[in-house]
Amino acid sequence: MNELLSLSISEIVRGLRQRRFSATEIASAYLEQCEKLKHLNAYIKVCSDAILKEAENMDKLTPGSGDLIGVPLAIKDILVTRGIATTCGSKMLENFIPPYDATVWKRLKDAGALLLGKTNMDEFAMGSSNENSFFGPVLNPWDNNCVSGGSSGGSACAVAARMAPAALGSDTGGSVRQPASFCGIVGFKPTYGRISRYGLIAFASSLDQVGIFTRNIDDCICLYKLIAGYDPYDSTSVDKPVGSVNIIPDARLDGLRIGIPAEYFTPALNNEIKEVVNQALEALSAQGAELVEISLPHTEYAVATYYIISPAEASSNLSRYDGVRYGHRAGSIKSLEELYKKSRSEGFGPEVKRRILIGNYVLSAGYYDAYYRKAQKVRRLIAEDFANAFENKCDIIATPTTPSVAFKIGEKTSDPLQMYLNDIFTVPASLAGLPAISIPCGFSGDNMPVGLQLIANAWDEERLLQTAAVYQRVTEWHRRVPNGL
Amino acid sequence: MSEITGETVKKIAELSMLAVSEEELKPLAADLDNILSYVKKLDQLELKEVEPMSHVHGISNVFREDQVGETLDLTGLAENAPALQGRFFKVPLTVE
Repeated sequence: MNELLSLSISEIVRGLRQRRFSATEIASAYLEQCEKLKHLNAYIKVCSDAILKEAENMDKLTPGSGDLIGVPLAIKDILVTRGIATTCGSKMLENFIPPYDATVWKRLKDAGALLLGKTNMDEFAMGSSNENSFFGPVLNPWDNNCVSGGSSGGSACAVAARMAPAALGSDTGGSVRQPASFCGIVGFKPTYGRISRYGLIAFASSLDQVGIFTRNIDDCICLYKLIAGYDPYDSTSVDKPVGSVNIIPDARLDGLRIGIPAEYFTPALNNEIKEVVNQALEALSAQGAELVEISLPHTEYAVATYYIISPAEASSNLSRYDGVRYGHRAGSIKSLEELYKKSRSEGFGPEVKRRILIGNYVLSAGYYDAYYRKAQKVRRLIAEDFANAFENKCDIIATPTTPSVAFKIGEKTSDPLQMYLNDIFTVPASLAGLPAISIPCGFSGDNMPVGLQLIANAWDEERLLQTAAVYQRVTEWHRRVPNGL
Repeated sequence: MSEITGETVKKIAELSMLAVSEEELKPLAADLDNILSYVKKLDQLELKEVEPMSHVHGISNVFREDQVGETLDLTGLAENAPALQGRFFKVPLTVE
């Protein structure tokens, strides 16, 4: 593997400034890696020509002051990029060329980042394995027979397989944390409202949040600082200072109370995961953290709540795809109704249709109270569980990110409910709108990565990232690289 | 169980503007029934006193002064339209 591919974001920027290598060399190294590992299917589009041209232009000038000068980044194909096809993993948007940039991408671009490509994903971010993509599944770089996770499977795979130094994704019920865990990298979803959703194609608006994939915490913090903060274009982004996010490199965790929720460590939890996560908890404790038992009593209702609320919002959000203004349009149509029905039926894949149907069912007259309203009430109970824990017991909550390591491709596709239950540990923090991160914390006997999930109170990203940084400093898991790169 | 029949799927598909074939009806009904039976789990909870939560931070409408700003170029926007006539979106005849 080309050694340029091992550099962190700050090392790339420093090296470029010192002229130790050029932006073109960096971009070329990544493009070669993308070509070499094409079979993993991490990208829907690699922007080879454009990035080389931009890198060459950059090399002619004195490096600017941007924090990401010359850093190639991969962006999940759910974030719109001006002039560059954005498909959302769907046939519906196969030929959609956005006329504007998502705020998060614009901020990264303004800091000097170069677009390496758009990554594969479950169609409209609906899935936990990337098997629902119109462009085919993404393979796990640790074992090509396994899924990369979803819905941001392409972004996770690209970063893990050194096909990008970092990537953006989106997390609705775990779509950043779960694939990060499956691929052995860092995946961070900040507080709902911390990052602009302008230009993030909507799935479930009360849950959707942009997230970050990196190989280490420092890179994660670097990107977080750049993309976080209020955006007048997104009225759900909150006008609250992001703060300096000062991470103390040699900090310990003395005085930090880490809550261990009993509901996540049931006898049903996979033994390997339990062991690995327990070792991670010991490492945190050795740094001075106090481990406290807590209870989040409504955890077992989270998946049911999520699979009412998110399809309900999706059914509404996806009604915009009508074959008229943009997106797929069916041929030989006689009436407007036929245009809608045929275009949507041809453009959407099976899981998207399933969720639209569920969503419209739970919102329909006679069922609204029995499903949707009830789910909104349980959502409050779930959020209150967390609020109580943070008020009375702990500062951070630690759990496994997923109930198992990456499963085999095809293993869960025949039973949608089994697939949904894979989100059991990530969905609660999403429903409560809390910041959460998955960090590499070990491996299974089959050498598949395991993720540790840390959850903080709303707006407490700094403490969350500081805790993750301490864990990273005292462990080596994040340095492991899949074979065959 | 079996709250969801092929007929129910047909009805929701109509509401959803989706065409579902006869062969798709049965497996879809089974999937939906399975999922909706699972989410019925919420019936175990006593919820009478609980207020529904529609937004995690309780933020309601956000207002600002109206300002003239940049807008997206109409031509660029229209380029994605599957069918155009002049600067208008073209659709099948809707009013006789």
